Formats: sequence, C-alpha cells, structure tokens
Amino acid sequence: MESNAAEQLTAIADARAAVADRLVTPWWYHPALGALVAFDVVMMSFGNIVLMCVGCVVFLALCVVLANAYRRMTGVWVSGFEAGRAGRWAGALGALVGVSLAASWVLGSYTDLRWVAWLIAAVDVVATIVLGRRFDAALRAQLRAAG
Amino acid sequence: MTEPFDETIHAPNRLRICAFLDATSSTEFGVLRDLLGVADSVLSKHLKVLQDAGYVDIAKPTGRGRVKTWVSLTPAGKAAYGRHVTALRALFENPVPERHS
Repeated sequence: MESNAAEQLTAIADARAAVADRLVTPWWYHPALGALVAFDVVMMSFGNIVLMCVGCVVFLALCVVLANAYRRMTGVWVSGFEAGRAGRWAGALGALVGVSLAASWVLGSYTDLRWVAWLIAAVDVVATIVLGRRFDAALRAQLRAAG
Repeated sequence: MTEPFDETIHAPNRLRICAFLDATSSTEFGVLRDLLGVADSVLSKHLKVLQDAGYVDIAKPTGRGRVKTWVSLTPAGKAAYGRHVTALRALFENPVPERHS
C-alpha cells in the first residue's frame, strides 16, 4: 500500500512539473502588459473624467484579450490569486498599478506635472516586466518543489 | 491515517488530472489529453466521473474560431484532492505495519 502511495505521490509531482513546463510565457506578454499599464497611467494623467473612463475600459478590455491570447497559446491559466506564495509577485504588481494610477490621477487633476506621469508610465513598463518574470519564476519553482 | 482516500480521485489517470488542475486555474482539454497520452473519449469518461462527483467544471466558451474546452477544479474538488494527498502523505510517512497471523 505504501509503495502505491509513493507511486501516486510521484505521479502528482510529475503532473505539477508538467504544469511548470507548460508555463512558458511568450516574450512579448509582459512588455505588452507593461505598455497597457503605461497607457492607462498616461490617460489618468489628463485629469479628464471621459479620458479616464475610456482609458480604464480600453485597459481592462485589452488585458482580457492579452490573457486569452496567453491561455490559447499555453493551454493553461494560473490566476495570480490562486498561485500560492508566488502570488505575492502578482500582488506587488497589482499594488504598483493601483498606486501608479492614483498618483497619475492626482498629478493630472491637481498639478501641471504631466511629465511625472510619463515617468511613472515608463517605470511601470520596466516594473511590470520584472515583477511578471519574477512571478513566473516563483510559480515554476513552487510547482517543481515537492507536490 | 487522519484523512480518507477518495476513491473517485484514487484512479491513476484521475489523480493526474486532479494534480494538474490543482496547479492551474483552468486547463484546455487537449493539454490534459496530451498529459495522460490517452484518446479524447478516455479523457472524456474520466472527466465525466469527476464532473458527476462535483469535482470539476467543464466550460466551452462560445466565440469565433475553433471552440476549446476548458476544465477546472471546483472548490469541492480542490478540497477532496487536498484530503486525498494528505492521506497519501500520511500513508507514505507512516506505513501501516504488516499484520502476522
């Protein structure tokens, strides 16, 4: 019975490793996501409610398109909310986007420092790529660890 | 052993399906078929058993192009899989002593 348990635990570890092998993010995915974040940050900086709404709708719609493209290419999807410890990186990215959008809105609504929003957008592109890749690496390592 | 074996999950192919699904939010039917190396009909039967037990959700999103089937574990399926793995680990770490008559 215990040898059967060992075989089953090995099968579980193999299945998790197979998921890790599948989770190869296309090279363009994180740059594209970063560009979308940057687009929304810039739209928020105009301080115009219509542009803000248009920016948010376009941002969310293109995020869905991007996620669907990823799903179609890899055949799997792992939500940042269901990624265990690796989800911390997705959480960090979400927090960064939230703070960036809020900062951009404040800058656009109460100051003339539009260039700062462009700087935030540029930082967000880089941060999205870095944090996204960290998330991928952490998730793969987590899956390959003991099942 | 504190957790019981789940006979629905215990079958080798269904255990591998559950292990894969537990590590993902959703998985395309063809990926599971390739993982197991079985025919579509065989995988469909296993998924039907898991679906009837309330352990998996099967979705066929509508839209243009070829429709793909997506499979995910339900909360009940995740809980049952977790209990089964706990039972396996307990058995592996604390083997039942052989009885001598």
